This record gives sequence, structure tokens and C-alpha cells, in this order.
Amino acid sequence: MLPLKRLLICATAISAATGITAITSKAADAAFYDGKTITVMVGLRAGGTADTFARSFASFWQKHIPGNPNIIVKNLPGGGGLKATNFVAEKAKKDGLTVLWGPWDPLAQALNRKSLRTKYQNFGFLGGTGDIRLVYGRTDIIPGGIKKAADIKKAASVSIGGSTATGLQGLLGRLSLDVLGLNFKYIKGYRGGSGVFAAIKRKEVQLGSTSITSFRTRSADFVKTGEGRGYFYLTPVEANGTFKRSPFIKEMPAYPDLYKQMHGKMPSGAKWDAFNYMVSLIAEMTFVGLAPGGIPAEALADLQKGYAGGSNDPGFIKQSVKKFGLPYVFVNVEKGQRVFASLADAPPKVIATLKEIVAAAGK
Amino acid sequence: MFEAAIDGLFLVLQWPAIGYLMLGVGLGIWLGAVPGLGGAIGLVIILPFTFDMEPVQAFSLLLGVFAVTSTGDTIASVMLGIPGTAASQATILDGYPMAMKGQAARALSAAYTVSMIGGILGAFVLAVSLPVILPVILAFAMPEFFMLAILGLAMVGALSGGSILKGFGAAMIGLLFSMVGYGQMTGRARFHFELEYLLDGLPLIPVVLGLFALPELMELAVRDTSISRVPKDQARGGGIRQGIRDAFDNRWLVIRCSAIGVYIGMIPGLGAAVVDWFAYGHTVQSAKDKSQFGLGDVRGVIGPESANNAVRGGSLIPTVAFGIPGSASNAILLSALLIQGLKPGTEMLVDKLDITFSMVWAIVIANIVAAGLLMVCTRQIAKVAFIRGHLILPGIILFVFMGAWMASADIGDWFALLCAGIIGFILKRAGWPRPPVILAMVLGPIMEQSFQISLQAFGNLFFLRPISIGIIGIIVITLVLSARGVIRNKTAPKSEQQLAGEGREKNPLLSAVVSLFGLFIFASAIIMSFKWHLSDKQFPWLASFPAVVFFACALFFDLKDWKKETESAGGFRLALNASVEKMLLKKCSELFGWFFGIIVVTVLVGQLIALPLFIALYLWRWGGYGWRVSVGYAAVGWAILYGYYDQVLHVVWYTQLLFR
Repeated sequence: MLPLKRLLICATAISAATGITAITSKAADAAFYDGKTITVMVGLRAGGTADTFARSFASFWQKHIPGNPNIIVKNLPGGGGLKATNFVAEKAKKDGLTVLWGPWDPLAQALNRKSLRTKYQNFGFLGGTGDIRLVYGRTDIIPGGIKKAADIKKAASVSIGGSTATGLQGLLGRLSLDVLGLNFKYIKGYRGGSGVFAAIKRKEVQLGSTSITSFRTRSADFVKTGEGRGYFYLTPVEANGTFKRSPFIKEMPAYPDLYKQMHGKMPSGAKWDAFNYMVSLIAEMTFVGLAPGGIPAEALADLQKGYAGGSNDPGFIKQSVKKFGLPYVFVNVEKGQRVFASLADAPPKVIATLKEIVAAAGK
Repeated sequence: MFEAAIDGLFLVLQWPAIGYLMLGVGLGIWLGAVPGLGGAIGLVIILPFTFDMEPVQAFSLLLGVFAVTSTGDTIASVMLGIPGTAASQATILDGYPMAMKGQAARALSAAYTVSMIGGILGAFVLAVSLPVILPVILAFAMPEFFMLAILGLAMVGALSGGSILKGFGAAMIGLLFSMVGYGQMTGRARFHFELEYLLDGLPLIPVVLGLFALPELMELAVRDTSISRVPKDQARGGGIRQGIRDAFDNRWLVIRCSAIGVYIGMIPGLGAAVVDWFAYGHTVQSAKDKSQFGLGDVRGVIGPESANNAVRGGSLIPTVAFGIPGSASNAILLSALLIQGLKPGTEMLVDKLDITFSMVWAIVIANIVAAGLLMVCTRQIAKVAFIRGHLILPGIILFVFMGAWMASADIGDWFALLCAGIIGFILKRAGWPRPPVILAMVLGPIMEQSFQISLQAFGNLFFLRPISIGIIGIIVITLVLSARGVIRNKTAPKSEQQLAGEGREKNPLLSAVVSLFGLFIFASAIIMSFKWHLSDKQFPWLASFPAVVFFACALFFDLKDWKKETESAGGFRLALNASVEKMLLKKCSELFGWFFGIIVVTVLVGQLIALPLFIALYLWRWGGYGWRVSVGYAAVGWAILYGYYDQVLHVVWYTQLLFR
């Protein structure tokens, strides 16, 4: 497209009353979404990682929904995303035109928190997007520096930064070190991953928990200069002790591998069970697309088809590989529903352990 | 490096990058000028359009918006006394009084000139500092953040108004506001009174708009006046040329404040919020004649406006060099950087230095163009100051209510707006300054976070780090100098005009009521938090115990002044009548009822009907205009709601009870 034309289109699109991410639809076979507009509710503030992802993904999603509807993104921040979750569950019309997209909070449902007024299994699952979690940090934790991830066991104690005592991400970071048997101090109060990263750079804390995409972008220089490194990435372990290693992550070991290097066996115990249970829920499903329960079956099927198509669109994959060196993990409907069912059927022992850990951290 | 700088300039001057830059500048001015929008929203809107662009084109568009919102926001600050964004709070202290004196054009032109200079200096400091400044930024850890936040509060408490005691008292109110909702550390909710809306905390924008916009708008309506209290033909010394001359006459002040802006701006998360106060504090403290500050001294506009554009360049340094964004706008720019496949750090400072320099040049050009554009419009903008207030109010109310609604799209936002409006009205009438409330609200979470983290990471003596000790020294000097100034000022006789500035109105009875209420609130806060976990109550106590002392002392002085006033009025009843009369309570309550009516009608039939209905009825009932004007104005209001807020911003509207 000619630059001038694109500039004019851009100007018109922004200043005249057109949608933010509205994409003009082309004629298609008469489909449920023909000529319609879907509102994607994002439960986080505009401009954050999840919101930016939603806006970027919307165009690929739209392309693969039969009828090519317009998609607009609306932000309804609050409660770490739960306000929008409650809104879509309770107030959105069941016409297939309002859906939810963003991070989900299995801990809120597992611990039966009042802030979540619905259950995830009540939604129609459209698709999920995974962003592998990991723990990274400084290399000067021990004299002479950390040469390989397992050297971390030589540290007398380490500090890890996080946001709150009760949030899921902080919990995962803490539990991972606890299960490894490390003596650690949890320093809480930081705002998001970038706040923790700044603290690591300032040597206020030594470790942090983040996603592979943030690690590969924000921390690229930190690792390149040798100042920092990735210690391990999280991956769930099946009941038979098997687990999947990411073919895209070579710069750090998978958590079970590191554990074996440090202890010579696979992890076990109540804390490990709780940790592994939470990892199995969110490790490959960081973000979810959900529709209110009871929307027309045709609409649900079209939205699911669109989500799968958008996630596997070569353009989308190319974009994420260009940015992060790996594609986002796509979670299909079958797997997503299995994860939700597993959450609905959480083992009481695991819940009791999680409650104990969260309560202890909140003191 | 020089070669990269030249390459960067050519990159940004190439078509279509320069076209995108101009488009960004236009949008940035608009977003800055409309209260409650701010630059972050604009960047979010634009971001998806940049996905397929080349990096330089994308950043030209985004930086066009980013660089100039704090130039555009001067319009609301000067003309309406509303801080357009958090960075323009200090500007209202002298900018709005200048508009009231009929000198809006002078204030605006001075502001645009120094914004341009500040923006350019900020960009150049960004360019030359990039390779060497990183250790300096890293030297500021959480203890220093905490101390800098206290310095910011000390500056605003001491400088905005005639009483340091009231300044600090007001700041404590802001700190208490900031503690509402989930705590910083434990995730447990505080001071939420079982209201779900308050769990996420009090949103800033509705409180800012309520505290500042509603009281000023009520004054316009109730007094049936224009923004300028001086008729146009009597306004003297307020021209555009005078403003430009003022900027150049105070060139060293401009350079110093720009430097403050850029260096404070580098501190992620803290800089933009406090920088205008640091600049204002420096402006007052370095001035020989301080008598007109707060009453319409042009230097009070020049200082903060130089700094709040310079801060943009400074704030980009941690974003580009570390990947650590200090604000929502910077976070969006970082996203854009990553979407373009660029990585912050060495890549931007070595491999892609030409692109980094193109960003610097984009900021420079955007600032020049914005200042030029706004300067051309200044004469027309300034004319608004002489228009009858009844014609301005309905339009502003629409933007104020929608600005508040944008916070979280909850009817609670409007209740927060109205509650803040009542508090703002009472504080204004009682002679309590309002800016400290806002700054403390912005700084509160940063202070609590840095305080708690400092305790965990560095122990109880965290404030003994060298830089922290240096900042403590500056705090002490600020307080001593301010106290001396206040004492000297107290002995000087006051004209009526001198009692019109922020926090300078005199109504000892009402002020005593505020003091008493403050005392009650903070004593209650201490009692409420008594049984909380230590980490939940540490910060509330850190604010509440000093607050009790501040409010008790303020009450003592208020009662003393009230006794004097009773004696001079010739009796308690006469003094009481005069006090109530000064508040214009009856008419203000009536107008407030109208604002409340907007909420009621919205609950019934939604905003798209409620706000235009308010416009039409207000013009008819309060302004005395005919149906043509009333309905026409309301139709324009509806068009803005639908065309802009619904179709462009995709606002989530209230789900009304009727006509769903």
C-alpha cells in the first residue's frame, strides 16, 4: 500500500468514528457473524502486555471467524482481571457478541475467593494461549558467579521479588524455590514483572519470576552481558513422572531436570503436589478466550474455529517468532476444557496446602 | 554517534514518517487538552495501526502523541484550573489565577514556549546521556524512591497555599485515599467498607476531576461569571507576546527546570508524578520576590511547564536502555518497541542507534510543531476565558463525567467524582489547598511500596544510604525555607486578590470543621487498623499519627482565628451568617443536586440520554437560553458521546434499567 494512502487511512481510522481494532469485513457466505461486531472484554488496563496481545491477536482471530465480523477490544480493568470475568459471566448478553479474553486466575477459584463470582467451567471455552513461566535472576548470587543453573544450590540464601503475598505468580515463584529446598527470602510489593526486573538490576533482589516472552525481550541484554540468566522454566509433570521439555528453550533447564540435577530424584511431597497442580493449570494456558455460557452453538463453534485459526495463522506465528524467538502455545478446546474440569475437581489435600501457604505468606 | 544522529534525523524527516509524526502531534494535543483522557489512551488507540509499519514510522506516530500531551494539557490547567494530566498539577497554581485576571493568553504562550524548550532539552539530554546515565539511574533504589516521594510531598505541602500545616494535612488526606482497597503487600483490602467498587482502590482521575473541576465549574455557574473575572476590555498585560517575552526573560529558570525535569524523569515510576512540583518548588525558592506566587505569577507557569515536557525525554531512558517502563505511556512504547522486533538495551544503544536517534528527533520536532500550532490557536483559546460560564459548563461537564467514567466504567466512578467534588468544594472554601491531596494520592502507593520493600531488603535503617541522606537534607532545607516564607507572609497585609489563590480563602469556621473532621477520620483510621496485620497497618499509621497532630494544630489555629472573626463581626451569629454566606451554599447545593441527577437518569436510561439531557436542561434553566441553543448544544453533546466515546474509544456504557 502506498505510504500516503496508508497514512490517510490511519488518520481517518483514528480521528473519524471508526473502531480501534475494527477490521472491515469482506463478503462471505452467510454465517452467524456476517456483518456483526464482537466485543472482546479485556480485564486489564489498556497498554499492558495482555491488552497489547489482545489487540494484536484480534486481527488474526477476526480473519478466521466465519463471516469475518468486526472485533473491538474494550478494557474493563479491576480485581486483576476478575471484574471483567464477573461482568461477562453476569451481565453480557448471551448472543455471542461479547466475549472475554485475558489472564485467568485458577487460584481464586481453587481457594473459593469471593472476588470471583462464577466458575470457569460455566463459560464456553474458545481457546487458550500459553506463555511459559520461568525463574531468572542475577548470576552474582555466589562468589565466582553461577556457571550453570544447578549452582544455585551453593547459595546460602537467595531473595526473590514479587508483587503480593497471595497472587498466583508470586506463589509459583516461591513454591518453586521452596520445593528445590533453597533458603530464600520473598520480597513483595513490586509492581508487575518490570518492577521486579528493575529491582534485580539494582541488586535489591536476586531472582524473579516471569514469562519466556518477557524474558526473551526485556531481559535479553541482561542475559547477553552475563549479568543474569534463566534458572529454570516450569513444566507440569504427569502422574507417571513424565514431562515435556520445550523445544524452543535451550538457555535453561526444565524445572524437573534441575531438581533431578540438584537432588538426584524427582520431587515429591505435599508442597510439590500443590506446586505441580498449579503449574499444570497455567503452564501452557496463561490467557484464555471465554464466552458466556449459553450462547448459540453456532456462535461458539465459529469463535472456537476463529481462535484456533488465528493462533495457527502463519502471520501470527511469524509475528511472535520475530518478537520472542518462539511461537505462543495454542491450547485447543479439548485441552482447555480438561484443565477447567481439573480445576473444578481439585484434590482437597492440594487446596489445603495452597491455603496454608497463602495464609502464611500474608502474615 | 554523530553519524547515527544525522541518520536518525533523515529517517524521521522521510515521508511518510514525518506525516505520521504530524498526525501524532495533532492527536497528542487533543488528548492532552481533554480532561481525563491523557496520553496513554491515545497511544493504546494508535498502537494496533503501527503493527505493520516500519519502526521509524511507528515511533514517529507514537512519539508525536507521547511528546506533546503535556503541552496540550496546559489548556485545561490554565483555562479551567483542572490538571489535564498528573504532570500539570503545579501549573494550575498560577496559571488559573492568571486566566482569572484576564491573562490566559500570556500564561498559555509562556507555557508553550517553555514546553518547547523543555521538550527539546529533554530530547538532547536523552541523546547525550544514554550511554553514561545507567549507573546513576540504578543508584536510586527503593529507599531513595521513598525519600524522593517525601520530598515531593514536602514541596507540595509547603508551597501550595498559605499554611504549611494545612498543606501537610491535605497531603495526609491524599495518602489515606491511596490506601483504600487491596493493600500493596498482602492483597488484603483496607478502608473499603465492604464496597466492591473500592476493592481496587479509589481511581485517580475521578478524584482529580471532582476535586478541581467541579468546584471551579460550580463557581462559574453560581456566580454567573466568565473564567476571567476581569472584562476583556480591562484585561492588561496578558498578550501572547508578553508570554513569549516572559519565557525568554526567565531563560535560566527554564533551563534549570528542564534539567530537573529530565533527570527526575529518568527515575522509573516516580519522575512524572513529582517533577512539576520539584520544578515549582525550585522556582519559588529561587525567586527574590515571592509575593505573587499562587496568585498568578508567570514564573509559576514557566517552571513546571519547562519540566513536564523535559520529563518525556528523560523517562524514555530507562525504557530504551533497560526495558523498564516508568509509566503506562512508557509501557505502551516498550510494547511497540518489542512488536517492531527491537530489544531495549545494547541493541538500541549500539546496533540500532540511528533508530534511537530518530526517536530523539521525533520528540524534538513534535515539541516544536505542537508549540507552534498551539501558539497560533492561543488567541482563540484565550477568548474562552471571556465567554459566559453558563455556555462553557455543560460541555466541560460532559468531558468531566466521561473522563471519570473512563477510569473503570463503573457507576462508582461517578459517585467518586461527586464525593471528591464535595470535598474539593469544602477544601477550597475553607482555605485548604487541594494539590497536595492529589500528589499524595499518586505518591501513596509508591511510598508504601518503597517503604515496605526498603524495610524488607535493607532493614530498619534503610534511610541511612548516602543518597537518601542527601535527599533528607533537601527536605529539611525545603521545610525551613518554606516556614520562613510563610511567617514573613503572615505579617504582610493581604488584598482581596491575595486571598483568591489556591488554599488562601479565609473561612475559619469552615476550616475548623475540616480540621475536626480530619481529626475524626484519622483517629478512626488508627482505631480501624489496630487489629490488622503489621504490614497492613504500618503505612496507614505512618500517615495517620502525624495527620492527627497536623489536624489538631490546624483546629487550634482555626478556633483562634474564628474567635478573632467573631469579635470583629460583632457577635457569634453575625460571624456565622457571614461564614455561611461566603460559601454560597444554597445555590451550590442546588447545582450539586443537578449533577447527582445525571447519575439518577443514567441509572434509568443510560448516559447517551442523561448527559445530553443535562446539557439542554442546564442551558434552559440556569443559562436562560432558548430551546434552539439548548437542543443544538445537547445534540452536539450526543454526537460527541456516540461518535467519539462509543465508536472511537469503545467505552463500556452503563447497563441502564429501562430501554435496554
